[in-house]
Amino acid sequence: MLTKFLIISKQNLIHLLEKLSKKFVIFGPKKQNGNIIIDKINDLSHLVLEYEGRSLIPPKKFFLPPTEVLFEYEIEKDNIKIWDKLVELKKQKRILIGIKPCDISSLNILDKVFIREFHDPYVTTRRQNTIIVGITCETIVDTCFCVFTDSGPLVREGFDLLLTRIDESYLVEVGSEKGGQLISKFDELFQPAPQEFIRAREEKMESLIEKISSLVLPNFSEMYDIMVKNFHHEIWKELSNQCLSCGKCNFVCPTCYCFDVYDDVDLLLKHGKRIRRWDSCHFLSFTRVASGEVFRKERETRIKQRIYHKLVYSVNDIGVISCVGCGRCINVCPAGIDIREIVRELWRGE
Amino acid sequence: MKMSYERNTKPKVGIFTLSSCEGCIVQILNLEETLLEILEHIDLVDCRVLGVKHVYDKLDIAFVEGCVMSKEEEEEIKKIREKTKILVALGDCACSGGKFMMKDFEISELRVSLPGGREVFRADPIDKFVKVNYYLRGCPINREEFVELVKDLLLLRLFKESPLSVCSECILREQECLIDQGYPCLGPITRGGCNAVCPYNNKICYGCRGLSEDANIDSLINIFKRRGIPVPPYLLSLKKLVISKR
Amino acid sequence: MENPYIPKLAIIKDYRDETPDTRTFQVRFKDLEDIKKFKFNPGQFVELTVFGYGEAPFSISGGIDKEDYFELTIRKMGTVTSALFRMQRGSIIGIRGPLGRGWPIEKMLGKDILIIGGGIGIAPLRPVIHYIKLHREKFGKVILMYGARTPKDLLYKYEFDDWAKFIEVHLTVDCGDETWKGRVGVVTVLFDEIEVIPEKTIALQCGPPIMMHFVTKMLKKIGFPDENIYLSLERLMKCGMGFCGKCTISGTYVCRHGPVFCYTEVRGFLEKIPEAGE
Repeated sequence: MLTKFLIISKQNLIHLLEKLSKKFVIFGPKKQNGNIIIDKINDLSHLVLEYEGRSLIPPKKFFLPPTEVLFEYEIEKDNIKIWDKLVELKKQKRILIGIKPCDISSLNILDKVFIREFHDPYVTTRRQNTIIVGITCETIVDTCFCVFTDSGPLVREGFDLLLTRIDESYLVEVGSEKGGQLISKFDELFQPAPQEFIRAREEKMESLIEKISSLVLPNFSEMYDIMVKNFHHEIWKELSNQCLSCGKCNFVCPTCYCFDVYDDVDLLLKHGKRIRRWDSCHFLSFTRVASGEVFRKERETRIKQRIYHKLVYSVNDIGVISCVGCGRCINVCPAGIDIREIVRELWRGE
Repeated sequence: MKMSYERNTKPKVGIFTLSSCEGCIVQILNLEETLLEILEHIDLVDCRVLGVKHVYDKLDIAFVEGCVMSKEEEEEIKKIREKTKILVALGDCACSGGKFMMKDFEISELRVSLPGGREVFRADPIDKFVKVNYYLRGCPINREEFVELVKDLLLLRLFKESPLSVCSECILREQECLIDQGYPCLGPITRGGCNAVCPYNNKICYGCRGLSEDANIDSLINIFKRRGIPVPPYLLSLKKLVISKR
Repeated sequence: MENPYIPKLAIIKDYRDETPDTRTFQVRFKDLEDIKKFKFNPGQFVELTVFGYGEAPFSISGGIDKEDYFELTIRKMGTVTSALFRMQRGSIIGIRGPLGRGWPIEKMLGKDILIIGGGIGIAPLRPVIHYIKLHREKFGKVILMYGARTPKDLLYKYEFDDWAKFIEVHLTVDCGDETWKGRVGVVTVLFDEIEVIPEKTIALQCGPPIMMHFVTKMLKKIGFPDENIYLSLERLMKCGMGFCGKCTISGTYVCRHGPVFCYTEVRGFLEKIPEAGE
């Protein structure tokens, strides 16, 4: 029987990670030029578990890397030899610690895309080989709106362990059998969680919800009909005057998954690679076919593609919206385009 | 069973320099071993910097760095064009006339007395006079991209310029935004492929790789104004240039 | 679990030139197991790899009646197709598929069929014609209307006589030449030659977007119920499995949900497409 809640002191958590680092490669938040980035943690003293907001690039990069070699091949005189890169992936064992509930929610969404009729074996394998240790937020930043996308400040699934800081300890919620097994070998580092810790977490969450709820916004999941109705609203023309088509919003979005596929080969036409790379629906090249035709030529159509994918197309495709309220796209947009304002304006117009 | 691709016989290649700092050819020379490998697959017949000057009538590929600054250079580029099947503009000078003209002087022509009795200082892109088949952008060019282009030409693959913007390449390197820090960085409207080398090193992007597709110059000018960032004069020149080309 | 991104090796068994820039390739898997496993529905496509050059999608244009190979009719366009055209018989390529959803064969049984093709758009319709030949008694009246730019651009000319034995064949070209005795004009001019009962006819069309625009309009005008109109759409399909997002129209993956769509699906797209005839 699994204990659902435990506590671990800050010090013991570091001990635990030290021990685990012998078997797993550990990835987590650390500071780089003033930003929080999630990266490989070689030195546990660099791990920054308590940070404001979320990392610049979301954890999707650990499951769907910005560029990835799918397979390599050797062109021989009368044969082609193929090396599947999946083989190497299968050996990896990773712990991803310190990601926020909004990001955990985003991984649940990506699962719905990549693990269905067809399985993307690269994403699936990485998901299977990675233990997710999330952490709940201490405070919010001014672009957070997870409450309106039902993706925070607490998540119900998608993590193996979920930490919440309570004074100098962490309350640990065990979210999966995998998570339970992981810590079962280190019983001595944990204590059962007293009721007041669980209550303290509830209070923390309530205060976060209260803060975020001060925003005047509808629930994004209920925007479907309004969005459909406003496909030709004038707001899209206005936004097309502001948008720079730089593609940053796609790259920082934890649920944007579109990619391009191409082959690289050496000068001798001997050794080749099939590569996939993140792509952005804001680029003209995104829909350009061999004949030169571009299917979304007008900037307006490309802006709509991203927003409608999040709030409409995604619901049609996987049954849920693809926005987790992390606010990254708002933070990075040079033009200050804010999905909350778009939603608010269309909602108010009703 | 056969695996057979029709390969070109060694193409005749020339590398030419018009007015420039010759920084692009230095990038090519910096390829070292890779350059030696490339030289095995081509027949280099003309390259002043490498001291190669063979007799030839026709070229398959001509790489041209530098901009056109005089009548003589205008004639030279036309002659190169007549001789070659494929013409590649190498670097920002050849592709767009060199950003320094616009950046430093905000004009396209300057009247000064120059050596050789010349009185007009100008810097024109080569496609003002001849048709260019491929553009290899940047100041200087990115040498990896040069290798890609050569490979594509040799293997008859279609060379594609990077679809990314400098801005999107910068965020992939998880950099703090320079515009957010109050600097007039042109990353959002500039064609990528440089891996955001300038912003990564805390230098603003001057747009040396040219405008990205569907670049929204007006919006960037507004963003700078709204944030109290002085609008660089060359951004306004760039806008004029785009309007005049339309 | 098999990795669906890895192509199976196949051999260019043979090819024939259809027009100066279009060629039909006969493709046979290298591995006997792969030959046995490969069963496709008319209208489905494959992803073809030319190693060193990349991968591109092509609809299957033949082979429903063949044991050990299938056909792809390909126009020379970009990097992959140009490289493919330089390859000789016996060369090795990669194949993934069959992928996507083809023509609604089940629904077509017992009905009259109107097949409308424009240019190379006839390619994904050819397996339907071959299927009908094999199972002629399962269908009512079958009409083919096929248009191309010039007589030279008509594909599968060598099969027209055979087709005419079991279906009605109507042809037209945009501009004729001295040899051309038939109709001149876009494919919709052929509507005055045919007799259909829209309620009991299933229309299948594939061609350039502008052609489908006018054909859809015409079909609706002459009383075709929306649910009897089918179109095969062409978009940029890279992964072919509904991941990469390149081929979506209003969030619908052309590769996964299509490339064949019923008009009732297409008319509801938020992003209007010319093929919908609106």
